[in-house]
Amino acid sequence: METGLDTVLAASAIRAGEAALVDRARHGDHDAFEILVDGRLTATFRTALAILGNEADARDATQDIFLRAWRNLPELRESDRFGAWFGRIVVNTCRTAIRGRRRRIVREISVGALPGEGDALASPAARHDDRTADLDFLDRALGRVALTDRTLLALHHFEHLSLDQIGERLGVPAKTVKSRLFSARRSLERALEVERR
Amino acid sequence: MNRFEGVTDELIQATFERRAQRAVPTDLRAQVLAMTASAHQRAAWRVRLSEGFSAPALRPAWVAVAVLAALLGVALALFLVGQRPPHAHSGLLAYASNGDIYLANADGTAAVPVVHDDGVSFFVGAWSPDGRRLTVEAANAVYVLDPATLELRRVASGSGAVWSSDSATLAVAGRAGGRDVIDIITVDGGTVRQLQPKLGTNTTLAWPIAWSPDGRWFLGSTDSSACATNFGCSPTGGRFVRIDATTGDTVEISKLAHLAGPDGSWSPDSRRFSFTRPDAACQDPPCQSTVEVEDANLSGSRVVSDPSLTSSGGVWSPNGEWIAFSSTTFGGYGWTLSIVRPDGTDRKTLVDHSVNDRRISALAWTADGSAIEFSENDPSAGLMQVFAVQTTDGSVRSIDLPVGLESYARQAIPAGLPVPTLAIAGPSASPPASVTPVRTPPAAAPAAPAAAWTGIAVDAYCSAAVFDFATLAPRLVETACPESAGPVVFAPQGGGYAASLGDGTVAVVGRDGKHNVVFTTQPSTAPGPRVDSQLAWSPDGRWLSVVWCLPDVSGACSTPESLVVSRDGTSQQRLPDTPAWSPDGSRLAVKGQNGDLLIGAPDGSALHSIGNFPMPASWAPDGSQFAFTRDGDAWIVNADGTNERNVTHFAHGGAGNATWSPDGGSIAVIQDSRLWVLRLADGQLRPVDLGPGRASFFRVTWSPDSARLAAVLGPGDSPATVIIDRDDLTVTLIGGDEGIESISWSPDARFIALMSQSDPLGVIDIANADGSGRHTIWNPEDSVSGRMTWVP
Repeated sequence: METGLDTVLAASAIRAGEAALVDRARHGDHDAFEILVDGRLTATFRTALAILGNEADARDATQDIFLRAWRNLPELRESDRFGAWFGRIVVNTCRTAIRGRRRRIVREISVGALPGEGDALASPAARHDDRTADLDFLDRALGRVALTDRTLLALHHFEHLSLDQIGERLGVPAKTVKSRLFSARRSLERALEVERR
Repeated sequence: MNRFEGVTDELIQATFERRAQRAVPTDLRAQVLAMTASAHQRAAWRVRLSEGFSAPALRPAWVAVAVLAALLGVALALFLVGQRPPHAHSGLLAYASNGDIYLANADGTAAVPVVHDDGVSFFVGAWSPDGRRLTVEAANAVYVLDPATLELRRVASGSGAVWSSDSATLAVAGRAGGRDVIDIITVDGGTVRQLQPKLGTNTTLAWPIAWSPDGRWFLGSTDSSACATNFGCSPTGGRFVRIDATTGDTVEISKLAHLAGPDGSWSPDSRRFSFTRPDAACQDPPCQSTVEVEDANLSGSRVVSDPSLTSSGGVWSPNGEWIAFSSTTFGGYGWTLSIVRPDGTDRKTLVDHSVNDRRISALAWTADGSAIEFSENDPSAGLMQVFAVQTTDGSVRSIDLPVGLESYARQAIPAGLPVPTLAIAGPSASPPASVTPVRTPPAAAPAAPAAAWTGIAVDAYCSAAVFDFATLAPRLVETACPESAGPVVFAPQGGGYAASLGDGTVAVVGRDGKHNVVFTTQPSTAPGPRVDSQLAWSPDGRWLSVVWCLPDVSGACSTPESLVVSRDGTSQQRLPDTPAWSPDGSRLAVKGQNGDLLIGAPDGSALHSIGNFPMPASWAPDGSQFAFTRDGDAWIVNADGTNERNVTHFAHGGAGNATWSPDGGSIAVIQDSRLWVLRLADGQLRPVDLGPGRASFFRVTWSPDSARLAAVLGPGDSPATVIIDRDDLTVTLIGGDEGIESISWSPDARFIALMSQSDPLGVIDIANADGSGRHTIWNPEDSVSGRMTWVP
């Protein structure tokens, strides 16, 4: 059975191995960088997908993230800080991913598709549909909130990072993260109100 | 509705997990590795300094010779039109490369430069249907080029001019009464008439539009949405419309789920048109779309492209029997070029790039209809190339145009007319080598401002941060950081800062970081949340400009609210727009609702019109005059509206900004691709010489003693930061390859601070005034933004 010490030692070994790879990549070794890409590609793409909400943007962002990481690796001073450094690139790239668009998303909402007051009690199948509808509803509302808020919510609810870890990625104290999370949550609730209209 | 009253953590988590439930695209790894393998890693900027600044382009002398040769060559050629029979590649080519316009033979050979201006970058517009004239665009202006004489005439402001079928008139974008209009002008720029399309409130018309050959209709895209803060956008969105060219009556053809490009194309007989209809349910671009054909009387449309693909760019063949269009699989990968009959039959794919991601666009039929020219944009190489595909056998040939092509258009040759050729070949395409006049700064110890200055204050994403020179550490002074909080805006001379607390409330914070006053601005219009504030201090720190956005029922910010507020919030004056103070704080300028410029006291009172002027680009230091730009030139005028004069007289316009020096003796004028320094004592206007090539200038900032200018140079992805000596105009390169977001001189003019935010971490560097001793003082590893303020 794996103990807490085992976990710590394993994580330490992984970090040490990664630091060596980072060190090589910092000096232009693309083979080493390729191994780093393999270790992070899936997680990076999924995080970008969670934040940006569509595959094309997530794909572009993922490419941009690794390109930025590769280009800026020589400026990373501590190889064992690669994880946090890379996490900040993910966050910053996603936060600016759609900045260049001329217009934000426009959508039309089919209110009529949603059940109204007095509708019959849901059957098990209907409950499943309700769940799907809730997720659709929330997904649309997420699309309405500011990208910075969506990023924060994704880091907390999808990547399950602690306030300290989010703070490290955003470069702000944990208590600031807490207030921003509260603010992001309120933004989401207001977006839900707009979706309800 | 009664469902979904609350949102739980579990639901949010489930929503994100569902969003991310897609497999990594199989080719993504290969693309990432290919991109990174071909990209250079960054090196320290000091190393890059030794490489010097260079930009590819033409030496003025070489260009002068070339233009002369071209003048002779083209004129001779067009008077002695060639005798070759028409073929697939008929008609002269016009193209832009490095901001110059070239003409070339039908096959791309014998290219000669015909339009050049060091200060302006030109783009090719469109040939007139009779092939006798070409529209050229640059710096928000439309020109008409006569290729026989090479006369270039400015005919309108804006971009996207469209020819009438008889080549006698042009439709250009205009504004009248606060609405978009269509101006019909002659090829000399004379007004024929003005059409006011009935577009609806707050609706704009996107250009170019498509003019039917019979002159009766326009097709275009309108946009009536506006994004407001974090509430998202108005759901009204854009529309693809038909506009009656006589009455302006507008009929919607299709909703645009996103801002699709204007994409209408008329059949030669004007009876039908093709257009791109995006998926109405699409929420995130790129959206699936189909090419459809509709009758001019809008009796009903027919899909002619494969509905499973994303298609666009339909173009009719000269004989009206075919429509060419491009398609891609949903998501923008893998491109094809196809043709189809207008009734949707006989669809054929001529070019298939479904595996190499080379994007196909800008389709154009050759005059005889035997081939289709198209441009390919290879994203991995960042290059645009032009090809032609034969409709009979699908064979593809490359058109011989230079690397760095920016735009091109083939001359239309009506059937039966001979094909013109250029008689004299142009000079070598390779410009001669040149020594750059840009120098590097002298060696020096790292700049050390601690003896004179406490630190530098910045807005660090909702927090006020002061980097302390003595302790070499940042001090974070947090604001309440509530919802809708805006950026921190520092008062002049380090005298605290102001921050929006949302919903009409502003906090003014003292130098010690403690709130010393919080006040609420008084709403003037409908109640509701006021969000997205913009704050700005008057130069003397006594007044604040506060602009609030009041989202309307659709979420659009259609009625921003502007006030001037005293530092303690006791005096509040409502204004029609965002104000600009003179540097001495004695006057305030603001745009009136009727378009006049209003001048008044610094608290916003006693406003009076001085005439129809743009907002000041820059005030004279004593507030007695101001500079502005209009019609491509820089002008100055007295503060009472008298003695207006043009101070640049540029041949091709392009003046975009003007900045008065703090001593009042000079004005820096930013042209489209050049920087000039005007000495007011004798009117001498001198260009800043960067050697060969053009550069866009950004963030041009005078030092407080007016001895130097700092600026960021473009273009593209290789910016550089320079310091320019006002007297001898020598240029010193102090950095490259970074995205400088703001520049701040210390008030004693001894130091300069540079803030960069891109790629990917925020950094503040400091250097001596001559650019020496540059070093990084703070890497906050987060997005810093806003102005830097030196703290005494």
